[in-house]
Amino acid sequence: MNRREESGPGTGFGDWAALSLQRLRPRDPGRAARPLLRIDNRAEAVSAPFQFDVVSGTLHRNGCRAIPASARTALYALWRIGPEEQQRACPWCRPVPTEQHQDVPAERTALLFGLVSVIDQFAGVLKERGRDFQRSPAGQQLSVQLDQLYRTLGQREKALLDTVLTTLDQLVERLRKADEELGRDPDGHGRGSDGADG
Amino acid sequence: MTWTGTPAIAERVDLLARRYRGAAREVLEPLVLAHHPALGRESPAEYRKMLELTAKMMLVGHACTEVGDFEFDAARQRTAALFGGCCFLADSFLDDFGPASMAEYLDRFTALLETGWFEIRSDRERLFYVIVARLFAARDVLTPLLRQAILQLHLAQAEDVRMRLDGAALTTLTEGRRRALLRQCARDRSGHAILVLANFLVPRLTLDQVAGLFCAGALVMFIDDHGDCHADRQDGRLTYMNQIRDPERALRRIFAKHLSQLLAILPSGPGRDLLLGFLTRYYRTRLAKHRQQARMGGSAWDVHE
Repeated sequence: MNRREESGPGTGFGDWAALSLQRLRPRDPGRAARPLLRIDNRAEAVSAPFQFDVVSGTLHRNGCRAIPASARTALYALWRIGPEEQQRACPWCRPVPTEQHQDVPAERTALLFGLVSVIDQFAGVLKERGRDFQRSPAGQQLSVQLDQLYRTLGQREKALLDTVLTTLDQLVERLRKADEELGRDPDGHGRGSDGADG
Repeated sequence: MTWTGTPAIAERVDLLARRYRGAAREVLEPLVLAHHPALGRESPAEYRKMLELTAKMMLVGHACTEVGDFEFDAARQRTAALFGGCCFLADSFLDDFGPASMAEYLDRFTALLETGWFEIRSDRERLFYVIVARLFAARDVLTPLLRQAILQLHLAQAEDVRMRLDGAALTTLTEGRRRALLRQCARDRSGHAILVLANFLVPRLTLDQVAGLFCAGALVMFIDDHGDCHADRQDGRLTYMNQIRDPERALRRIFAKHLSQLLAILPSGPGRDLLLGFLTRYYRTRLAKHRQQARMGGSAWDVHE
């Protein structure tokens, strides 16, 4: 690693982590297609129920014909609107406020899958780093502490922790299998370089 | 509806502009020294320009935060400074290394937004990436409005680059159509940029605030392009402001129209006053810059307050 990245007032752990993460960038184009973080959400935005024209400050239903052509590059997709936002409603399409509901279970599932996908994507690196760390004095000390902590847990806590770890492990395995299945053509052959490179 | 700033507002803008010049340096200098020391050492004019732009972004960020009814605290000041540095470097990738590299950078930014992967090839890119990473850690970047603003800004930049690289296609259009496209592109570039900044600073904006800030951002670009009119012409770059016959009169009209729109949309308060105070000051200094460059010539590298 470049020494400049390790220390100094302009560097921090976050910078180091961010730069290290980019070093894991897959070199072959097939693997690079798997995103680390996708900002571009146009695919989801096309099905959002509302669009806000920031030029005129008008709120439309998605696809309203009253949206001027010059505002096409200044539309923001909205998934929910509240009653207070109706004063900006387009008189042509008249969007109505959506009922408030919390989509917590779906978000939790998405979060869990997000966590699993990160672990899965960087499993090799994480394991390697884990083994190195385990061998270091700090790692050995932590290992002793964790061991002591585990012994102080009651049966229920131990069972819960084991279940969480096992579930995570199984989820990773299932996700990997699903990914492999999706990557096959109808004849059962692999689709591209993703599988070939392992 | 009219707005006449008070001496107290003008004084506040002056005071903050001075303060944020120092604050911009405090945030960016350690990063520049750590990741791209040659920038300060070998290109002092460019470095000064970066700090000046960052101070401007901090002032705008302060106004956006107060419009959103939040306090522009130390963390938000850092975020606004990072955003200034990020914009400056991103613009430099597009402006300073020739057409081929301009198109290539655009493709790589597209990949960054689609995948999160960015191949770091130089110290300048390392500095840019570290700043982006710090910005992304400042707020949940997957918030719908913020991620859309980032993407819209990128698309507006791409359109601007496309027009620059294919100037011949622009000349085939009617004068009116060409001006309309250039005007829309200017509006979008800065309008979406201010929404990115505001969304990094404020957790939630009302639709009125979003529309008001977009309007303010668009006005910044028209003022900016008028100030750079001669430098842009010298570089062969077409902008709406350098394609009209009487740009000063047009800018006066644009300024008045945007100001009345802002007064109608944004509720009165210190945030709106600061925003309008800044825009008024920026308008005056860029009129002066335009006149100065008309007399004495100048380039995009000149540093103006």
